[in-house]
Amino acid sequence: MNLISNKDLYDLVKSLSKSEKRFLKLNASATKTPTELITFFNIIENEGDFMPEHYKTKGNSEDLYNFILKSLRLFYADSSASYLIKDEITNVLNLFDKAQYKQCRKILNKQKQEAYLYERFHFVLELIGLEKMLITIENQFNIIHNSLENLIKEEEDVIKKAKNLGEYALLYSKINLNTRQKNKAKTQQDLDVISSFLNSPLLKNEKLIRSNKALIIYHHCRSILFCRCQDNESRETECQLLLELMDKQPKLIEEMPNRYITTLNNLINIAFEEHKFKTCQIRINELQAKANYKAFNTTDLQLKIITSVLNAQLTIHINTGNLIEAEKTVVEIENIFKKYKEKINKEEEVVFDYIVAIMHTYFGNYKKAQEYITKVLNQGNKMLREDLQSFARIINIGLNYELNNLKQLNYIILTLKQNKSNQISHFKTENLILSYYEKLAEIKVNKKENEKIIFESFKKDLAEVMKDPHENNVNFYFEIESYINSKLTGVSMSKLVSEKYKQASLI
Amino acid sequence: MKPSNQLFDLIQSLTPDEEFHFNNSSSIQQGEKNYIKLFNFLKAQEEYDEEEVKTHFKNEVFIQHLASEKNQLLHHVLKSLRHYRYENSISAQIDEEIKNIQILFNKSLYKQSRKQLSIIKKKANDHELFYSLLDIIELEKVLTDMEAYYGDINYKTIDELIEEENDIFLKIENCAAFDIQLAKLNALSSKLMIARNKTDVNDIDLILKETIKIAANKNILSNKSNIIYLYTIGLCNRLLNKMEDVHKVFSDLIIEMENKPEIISEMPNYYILAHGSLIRYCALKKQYNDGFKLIDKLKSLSLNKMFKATDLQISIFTQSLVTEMLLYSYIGQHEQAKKIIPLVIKGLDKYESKINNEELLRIYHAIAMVYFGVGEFNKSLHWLNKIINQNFEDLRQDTVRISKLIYLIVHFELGNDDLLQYIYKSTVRFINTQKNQYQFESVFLNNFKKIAISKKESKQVESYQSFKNELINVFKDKYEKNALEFFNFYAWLDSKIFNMTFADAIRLRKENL
Repeated sequence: MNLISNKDLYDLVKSLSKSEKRFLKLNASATKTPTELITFFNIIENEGDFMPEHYKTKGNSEDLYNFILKSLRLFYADSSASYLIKDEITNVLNLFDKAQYKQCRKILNKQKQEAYLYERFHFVLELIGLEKMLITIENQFNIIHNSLENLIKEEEDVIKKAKNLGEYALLYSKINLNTRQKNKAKTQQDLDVISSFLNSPLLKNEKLIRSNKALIIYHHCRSILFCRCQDNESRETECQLLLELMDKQPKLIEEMPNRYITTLNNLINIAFEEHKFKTCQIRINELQAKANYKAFNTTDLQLKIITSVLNAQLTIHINTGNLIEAEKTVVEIENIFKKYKEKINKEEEVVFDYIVAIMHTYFGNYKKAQEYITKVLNQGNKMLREDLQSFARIINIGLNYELNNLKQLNYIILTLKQNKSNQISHFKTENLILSYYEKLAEIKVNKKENEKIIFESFKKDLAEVMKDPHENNVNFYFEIESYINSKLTGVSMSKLVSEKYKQASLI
Repeated sequence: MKPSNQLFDLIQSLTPDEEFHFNNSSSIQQGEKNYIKLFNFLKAQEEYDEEEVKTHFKNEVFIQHLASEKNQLLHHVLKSLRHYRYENSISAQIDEEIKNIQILFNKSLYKQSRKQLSIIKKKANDHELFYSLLDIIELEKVLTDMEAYYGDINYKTIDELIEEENDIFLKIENCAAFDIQLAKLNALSSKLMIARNKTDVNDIDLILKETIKIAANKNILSNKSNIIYLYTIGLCNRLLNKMEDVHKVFSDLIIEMENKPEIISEMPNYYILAHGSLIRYCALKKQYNDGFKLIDKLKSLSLNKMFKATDLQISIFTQSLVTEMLLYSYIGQHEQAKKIIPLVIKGLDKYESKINNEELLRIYHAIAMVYFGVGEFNKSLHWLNKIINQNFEDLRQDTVRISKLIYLIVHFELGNDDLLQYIYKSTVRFINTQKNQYQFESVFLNNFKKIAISKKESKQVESYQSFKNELINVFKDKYEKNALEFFNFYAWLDSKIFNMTFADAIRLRKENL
């Protein structure tokens, strides 16, 4: 092992669970590992923040790093299907080297079956590679289990399956990338792109699918696309089909745990978007209950479950006007983010900051809201969740308007208008909001007193624009209608939003 | 084979290093362990005897569940061998390190995961470990996807990775295409050591052309494919007895492998077999010193860590000791060859059940020829009996057929005249039932009958001379002549004509031809 920095070692030590540490220490005493290595480990374990200077005299970082990885490999040796198959492949190799061909054949047949069950095509190919060697020897002993011709046909078939899986993985990656940039379709052009994906040979129907893993990705891709075009009924069907398939073959959950959790999370989102908060809560509970599954026992998946659950709960609290619970959840999420700092990806950060900004806006804490909106706008990657960034810019104008930051307002509006002209797609509502803020800014600057008239006109024009069904998606980003009504009636926005979704808590 | 025997065989096959490793890793666990007791007892047994095991451990509780105890022992031995392999084999190390990538990924330590991945991928690429590379790329896809969430897009894209993966599939398929040709050729070479008629030549030519066509159409996409390609071409030429081509191709193969030692570690048997073929070339071309040098090189490989595996040790054993014996016999130094026989027998005791029939036939034949050369006909007969009395089905019928003729000669030399009549008739019946008839066999049987059976012209110099003349005539056919590869009929007839030993006759012929 090369290129291991002290920070890498620190991060690895800090990532260990209690049971992993316990096993590591047991392993150290059993293998008579030098005590100075364990002393070094204990010092890092007890260290607070990373202190580079501590490492100069403490010990050999590389040795400790390798020892930890070795212990972890042993710790997880029996818990991962891929490790088990890999170990059995090594057994086959050892027995082959020892010319124990019959035993070799026995293990090989069993492991090939296992690898097929897990649809680990690379392992199947490796086992076929070994079987070729074995067949050559068996032929010399006049033992016939399989012919080389059959084996090569089998190999071709497995390669076709693996390539097919690769095609679906690539398609998923393209769809996912596209979705990370903009979640919901905003224009006919966006819808056309989605439709072209859905009608592409790989996604149109199941005819080209060669494996269950490919079928899982197929359903996953379609669920994402239906999400983007706001066809929640089809999206839910795809999610349910995917879960049904994986529940029937739990080995596939072990193989693709991330897709399983993402799908459960999708079902939560569907319920939320369909304004079925009760169903949403049931699904949150379901996801929480799965956290103890062996297949999800990794830091990244545990983190994904926790953040999905908390984000969903936060959104429900915001939309039901429950500020106290919402704030508690925010603290909880922030603590997790602090603990797992570098393990939280930027998309999760952006989504969280955006939700908190919305929360504070609904509850009238504009200053707080602006802090979080600024975080969204300053995160650096313009392509990441471009949809959220686009709304964040508009909300930023609204917040400046509410906070009477009139000096900045005109400048921000001007910049945003320039930005909009460069933006590939946007809702008509976004333009409408922008034009009304321009008008509202003008009256504030000139101290005119006809704000209400402008909001009335705004409401009228908005109702017209909202006749377009795609425009309704704007409400997922910001309850603009409730905001206008709040301005017109003087009732707080959070109250209006919770009134709007009163029924949602019952279904 | 019963499972218990497999466990016993496995334990017996452990090298001292492996045994040390097993004992060492077992000592990690505290207290007395039944499986260790069982291991030590089985290790000391010469042959597996379960009754003896039960009697020995009759007072132990574990003997009541011996089957599960044996299973546990098997599990521990295999585990210890796996760990021993990780310490000694690059490909096993890479497979372990692939687990590290996954562990670090699961801990969301993506940057560290990437660091490990980059190092391991290079290593796997250098060793052309296609299956490990597929695993690595699979992990890299997930990692790349994750990195994109962090805005880290400095590495390969998913498109590029899929392209890379497809490229590996192509390499695997390319290897498989050459593998098929080699398998066809192996099926042929298990029946014949050398082409003995035009049908054989046509069959071999077809494989040769097909192999060259694959190389032209699909290219040779990896070093591994190249080795299989060269080996197939070399073997075709060996079967066709085109010795200059054999020399060129196998020398190229050895150079290719020595330029990339990591490929030797991946395909060690090709390296050994290529040397074996070159030794035969040296014998035929009278480059005896070079032949012995190659044998020494092969023997030294048996000490190399890379060639520790039992199957490779067997391969080195057959390609070095047996070939050395043949080389001495080839030049008429049968006394020297005889000195090697105890070592060969020792090897047979150790490996006989693990050596394939084709090799066994070759070894039995070689020993029989050495004893024949030193005039120890009874011993020669013992080894010929092993060939004739075992059912090798259609395996290496060329060796079996010629051994039947040599069998007649040995009985003739032993003066077993009564038995000879019966064996002769049986041999004629056997030869007549064979699909391909060789003119040489008819000539041999006719002349042998005159000399040894009818006794009309028994043991007359003229009869031997006439026998020889007829053989010279038959051996003008290049395929018929290949029979001399198995037994030097000329030397045997010369020994009778000029009243000298068989070994002297060989030496004289080598000096004068």
